[in-house]
Amino acid sequence: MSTLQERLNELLARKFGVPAEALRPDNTLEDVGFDSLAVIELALALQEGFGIPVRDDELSTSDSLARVAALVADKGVAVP
Amino acid sequence: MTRQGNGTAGSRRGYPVAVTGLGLVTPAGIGPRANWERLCTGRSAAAPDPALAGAAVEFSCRVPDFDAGELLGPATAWRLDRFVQLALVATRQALVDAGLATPAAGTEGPALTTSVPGARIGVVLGNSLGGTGTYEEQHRRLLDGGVGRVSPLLIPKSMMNMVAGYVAIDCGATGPALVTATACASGATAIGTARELLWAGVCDVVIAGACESALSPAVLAGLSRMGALSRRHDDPAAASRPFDVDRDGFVPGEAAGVLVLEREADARARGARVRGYVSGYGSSSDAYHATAPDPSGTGVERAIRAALADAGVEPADIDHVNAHGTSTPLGDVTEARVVHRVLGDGPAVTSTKGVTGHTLGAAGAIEAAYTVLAVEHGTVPPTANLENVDPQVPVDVVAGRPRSRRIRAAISNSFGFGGHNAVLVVTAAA
Repeated sequence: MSTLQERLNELLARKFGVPAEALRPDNTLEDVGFDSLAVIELALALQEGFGIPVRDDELSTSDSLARVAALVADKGVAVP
Repeated sequence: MTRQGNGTAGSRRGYPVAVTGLGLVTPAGIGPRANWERLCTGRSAAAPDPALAGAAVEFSCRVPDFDAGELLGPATAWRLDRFVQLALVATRQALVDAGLATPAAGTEGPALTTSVPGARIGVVLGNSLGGTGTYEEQHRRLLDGGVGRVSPLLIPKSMMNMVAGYVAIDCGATGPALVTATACASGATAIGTARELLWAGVCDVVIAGACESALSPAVLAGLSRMGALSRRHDDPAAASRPFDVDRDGFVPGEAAGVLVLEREADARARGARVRGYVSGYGSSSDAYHATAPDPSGTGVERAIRAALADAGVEPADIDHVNAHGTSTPLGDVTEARVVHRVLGDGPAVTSTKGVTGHTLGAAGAIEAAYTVLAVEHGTVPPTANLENVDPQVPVDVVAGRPRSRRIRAAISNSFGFGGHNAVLVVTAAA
C-alpha cells in the first residue's frame, strides 16, 4: 500500500500533469503550476478521489503538498 | 516594414497576402505532409468510433493518434478542451513551417524567433460549436451532483473565443485575437478577416485558421435529428461520398487548420518561403433559410464572384475548386450548379470531405490549406468514394486518383448554417 502522500502525488501527476520532479512535499500548489481555478478543481478531485468533503476555501495556491496531504488525513482518510 | 504591395499576386487591394506556413491536425493525419499523402490516396478516414457508443451515430472522422498530453504536455492538456488542443498543435506546426518559431522543446510552447514584435502578430481563428464535450459532461455532473460538482474550468474550457486566447498565450502573440463564427464557413471567414487586419496595417503576421471538435452526444443527436448525417452504419468508410448519387448526408469530423499570413513584401523581406497567396475573399448571406441552401444559389454565386473580383481574376483563370461538398443530397447539387454557372467546365473540382468527413467550423481552414497544397503540387486530390457522379452534378469532379494539372488559381468554397457563404481565391507562388 502506498502512503497518503504517494496517493496524492499520483493524483497530481495523472489528473493535473505535475511532473515527478516537482512532487516534493514542501512545494506549494503554485510552485507546481496551480492557479486559483486549478485549486478548486483539486478540491473537487480530492472529494471524488478520496470520498471526503473538501470545501473550495479549504485549499489555496500557497498550500504545500504536505499541507494538502495533511488536510486529507484530517478528513479521516486512513494512512496505511 | 513595407506597406505597399506591388500587385504581383493579382490582388486589386494592393497588399498581396502570402501564405508562409501551414499547420494541419485532421482526420487525414497530423502535419501537412501526412494530410497531403492521405488525401491523394482517396481513402476516407471515417470509421467506427467507440467513444460514440449509444450516440445518434456511432462512426465519425476523428484525428488519429492525437495524444494531447504527449504533444502539449499533460500540465497544459488537462486544462483545455480538445478543440483548443487541436488548434495549439496546428498553430505550432504553422509557425515552425513559416520560420517564425523553433520547434517546441519537449512539451513547451514554440519559441518565436522572429523580429516581428508580438504586438504585431494577430490571431484569427474560426470555430462553430466550442467545447461541447466539456459542456455536456459538466451538465451531467450538475444534474447528478449539483453546483459543487461542476468544474471551475467549465467556462474557460468551453467558450469559443478561448482558442484565440490560448493560442496567443502559447506563442506570445499580443496583437488582436478573435474568433469568427459563421458555422461551417468559420475557417474561411477567419482567413478573410485576417487579410483585412494585414491590409489595415494593424498586424504584420496573422495566425489564421479554425478548429472544431464537437463530437459529443447532444450535438450529434441534434445533427442527426436534422437529418444532416449519413446513416450508412454498415459501411462507415463509404459514408462520406460527395457528389456521388448514393450520398445520404455528412460524416461529422474534428480538425484544426492554421495558415500563417503576411503581406507579400514583408514575407519576401524576411526571406520567407511563400507557399501561395490568398488573393481573394468574398462573402455573402443567403438570407433565405436557417439551414437549407437557397436552391437558386444566388448567395453562393455572389460570394464566388466577389472573391474573383477581389483577386482580380476571371472565371477562366480558375483551374481548381475545393468544394464545400459535404455529401448531403441538396447541398452538393446546389453548389455544383452554381460552380458550373460561374466557372463553366474548366476547373477540376474535388471535395476533400470524402476523406476528412465534415469538420464543421474547421472545414474552411483545412480546405484553404489543402487548396494551397494543391496549387503547390499542381495536383488535384480525388473525391473519396465518388463512384457514380450524380447526374444533376454538371461539373468535372476528380475521382479515383489524383489528377496532375497546372493550377494558376483555385477557389475554396465554404458555406454554413445561417446562410453564410465564404469563398477564398488561392493563387500560385510566383
